[in-house]
Formats: sequence, C-alpha cells, structure tokens
Amino acid sequence: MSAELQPENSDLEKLAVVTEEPFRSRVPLVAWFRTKWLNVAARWYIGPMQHQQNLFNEQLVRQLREYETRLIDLDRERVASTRTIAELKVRLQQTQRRADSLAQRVTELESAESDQEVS
Amino acid sequence: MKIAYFSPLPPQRSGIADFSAELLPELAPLVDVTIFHSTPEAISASLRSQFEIAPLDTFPDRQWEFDLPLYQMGNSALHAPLYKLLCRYPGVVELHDFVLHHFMEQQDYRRELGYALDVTAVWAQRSGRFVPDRDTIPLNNRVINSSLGIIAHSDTVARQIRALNAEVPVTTVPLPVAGDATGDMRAELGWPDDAVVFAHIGQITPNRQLETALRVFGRIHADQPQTRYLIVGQSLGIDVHRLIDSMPDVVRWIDFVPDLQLFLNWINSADVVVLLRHPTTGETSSAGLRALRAGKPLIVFDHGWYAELPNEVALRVPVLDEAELEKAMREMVNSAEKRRRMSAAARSLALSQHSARHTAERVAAFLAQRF
Repeated sequence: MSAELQPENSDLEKLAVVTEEPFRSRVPLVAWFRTKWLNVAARWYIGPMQHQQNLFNEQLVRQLREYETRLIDLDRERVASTRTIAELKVRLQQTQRRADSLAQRVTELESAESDQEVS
Repeated sequence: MKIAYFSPLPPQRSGIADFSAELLPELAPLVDVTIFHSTPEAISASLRSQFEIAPLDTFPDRQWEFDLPLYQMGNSALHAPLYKLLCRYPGVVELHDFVLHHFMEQQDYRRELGYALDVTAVWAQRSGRFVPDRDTIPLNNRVINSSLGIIAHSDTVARQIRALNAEVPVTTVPLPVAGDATGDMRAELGWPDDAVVFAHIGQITPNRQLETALRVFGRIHADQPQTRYLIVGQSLGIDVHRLIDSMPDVVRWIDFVPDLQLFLNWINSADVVVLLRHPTTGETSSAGLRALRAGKPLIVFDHGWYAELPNEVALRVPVLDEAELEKAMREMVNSAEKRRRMSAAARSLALSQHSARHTAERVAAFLAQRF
C-alpha cells in the first residue's frame, strides 16, 4: 500500500471517488489504440460499475462523517453529564454532613432531656 | 475539609512538582490532604512523612472519603495519569498552563480536536489539509468544561477561561516563589563595578525575543558603554553565539544552570531583567517571579500576565515595539534611583503576594467556597 493510501494520511473524501487513469505509452498511437479498444470492448461494462462504486463510497464516507459527528456530540454530552454527577456528589456529601450534624445534635438534646428526667 | 490531591511531585522534574512541594506543607494546616500518585514510593521522604500518599488507582474506590479532588494540571506528559482521573472524577483544577495543546498531542489527539473544534477539523487534520496551531488552539476545553472550579494564576487566564465557559467558577491565585540568592556572580564576569547589567534569564526560545533585546541593547551600548548584557539559560533552537559574536566583551552567555541556588545567584548579578515574551500562551513566568523575589526590576511586553505587573516593579512596553523597548532600557540605565526604588518594590511584591502561605490560604478559601 502506498504512503498516500495509508488510512492515517488519507483524505477519505478525495479517495472515495474512483477515476480512470488515461493510457500512456512512449510508442506512438499505442495509447490511442488501447483507449479506442477500451471504449468499444469494456467501457459499457466498467462504466456502470465505476458509477456504482462511487455511489457506495460517497455514502460510506458520508456515513462515517455522520458517525464521527455523533461520537463528538456524545463525548460532549458525556463530559457535561460527568460534571453534573460530580456536582451532585458534592451536594450529596454536603447534605450528608448536615444530616450527620443534625443527628448528633438530636442525640445530644435527647441525652440532655433524659438527664433532666432522671434528676 | 478532606481533599484528594493530584500532582506531579519531586523527584519528577517539573515546575509544577516543585510548586506542589512548596504548597502542600502550607496547605496541610488548612485542609486535610491525601496525595494520590502513580508511584508513591518514589516521592521525597519529607512529603511521605507529612502526608498519606496513596496509589493513584485506589482513588475510584476511595472517592467517597473526600469532599473534593484537587488536580494540578499542566501542559506536560507528567499529567497524563491524573488527566484520566480528572475527566472521570471532576473536581477543582489548578490550571498552570492555559494552552494544553502539546499535552493533548500525546493523548487521544483527534478526540480532543473533535471535542474542541468539530468533525471538519478532525477530518482535515487527518488528511493533512489542516495543521492545528499549538499557540492559538489551547485544547483545554474538556478540562475547563469538566471542572467544578478552576484556579488560574493570572487575571488574563481567568478571563480567557470565562470566555470559553462562563458557568465554571474561576478564581485567580498568585503563583508562589521561594528561594533567595546567597550572593552574586559578578566577580566571575569581570565587568566594572559600575556596569549596568541587563539580563535574560531562563530558556532561550524564539518567543523570548532575545534577538530583539540584543539588537536594542547594541544601540544603547553604543553611547552607554557601561552597560552589559547577561544571558542565563539553555538555548532551545536559537544560535546564541551568532547573536552575541559582535559584542564578545559586553554580552555573556551562561548556559543552563542546573543548581537552583546558583541560578538565583546569577539572577542576583543583574540590575534589570528583560523578560520579553511574544507570543504568550497564558503562562505566568516563574523566572520573572524569581527575578522579582531577587529584587530585580523587569522590562516586559504589555500583554498576558506581564500586563498585570504593577508599574512599580515593571516597565511595560508595547509588544515588539523596539523604539519603546529602547526608551525603557535607557530609562533604567539613566536612573539608579529608579532601579533602587523598583528593586525594593519587586522584592516586597514577591514576599507579600507570592508566598506559598498566601497561595495556600487562597486555594483553601476557594475549595471551601466550592464545597
């Protein structure tokens, strides 16, 4: 696989379009004859396949882009949710602290009350 | 209040590790601190004797023991282990660098690009059509959006954070600076006693504008022959010899000084520190703070944290304005009285506003406010 086709370096949107490479030859007329022969013998066969492949590639790239967009959105939502949970955790601990303090105060009051009853 | 504390720590070589080592003893009387670290056994004995130090991976199971996590976050790979926890268990973040781009390049870079920018940026970067600018794309969005509160070291950075997320509580706490010179190194320089010595201190990088400063110095020295220029610091990609070759007797380059005490003594050899930065990435200069603590007036460009320095300790000049820079440097050469006055003010500012105790009190107050 050539360097420019490595997925890491590739511009998927450009690579998705399959294009014909024109015939070339150093011998005069060879490329012209090969092109003519392709037009007669195979273009009717290759053309629709090329078209279908391009449609498929285009759809695939669009889908990939949509999925990556959705992943980014989900990532952002996850960060927001994680922060909300952390904020709630702090509030919960604050509430717990107050509840513990109140419980202790109630215990102290009850104990003082029972002391008074005894005396 | 019980705090789970996350930071690089000595012997790890990082300014933030040193910062934490100075801050923690002052924070200890104010809040109950447990340190979480990836290698507790490697941490210095003095910290281990003062604090409970737990393995980083035990925090998830122990998170309910603490009121808040406090993360010391900066732009280096040393922060990778705590960054993962910061994302999963948000808390208060002390943000030492506004720009985290270099750090994020070593993480899941495209995920961070996508989070901060959009899918188009990710695809363009993947194809090579887009090279994200490290200085202007800070990639700090996830850290800021996750945090329950952020501690910044300058009002400039605090404003930049609020511009990105107006809802996250932000406070500014001065960066502490410790350590005093025990003498100076002027005798080693062999310069006249009445020489007025300008100095560049710290690493030599393109954004520190040494070439600009030396060009201006050359003009001043032409009619103020008693002036000298001292350069203390390691060059990172700058050919310093080329810059100073034309002024061999009046400009001296002392390369990297590994010993902090010696470094402080070199700073103490200067009369004025020229602390230029352009561009600035929201940093608070620890070299600048060391110079203030040594009682050295500064000449700075008027932007970022540098713009927040009071007139009493720093002459601020418009960014890259050589004429104004020359005027400021001449002003310092011509008035020994001004240098003395600014020197006293610099020292006083460093001691009153940039002590570890003062920082710890401000950090503890913000934590209490957030809990």
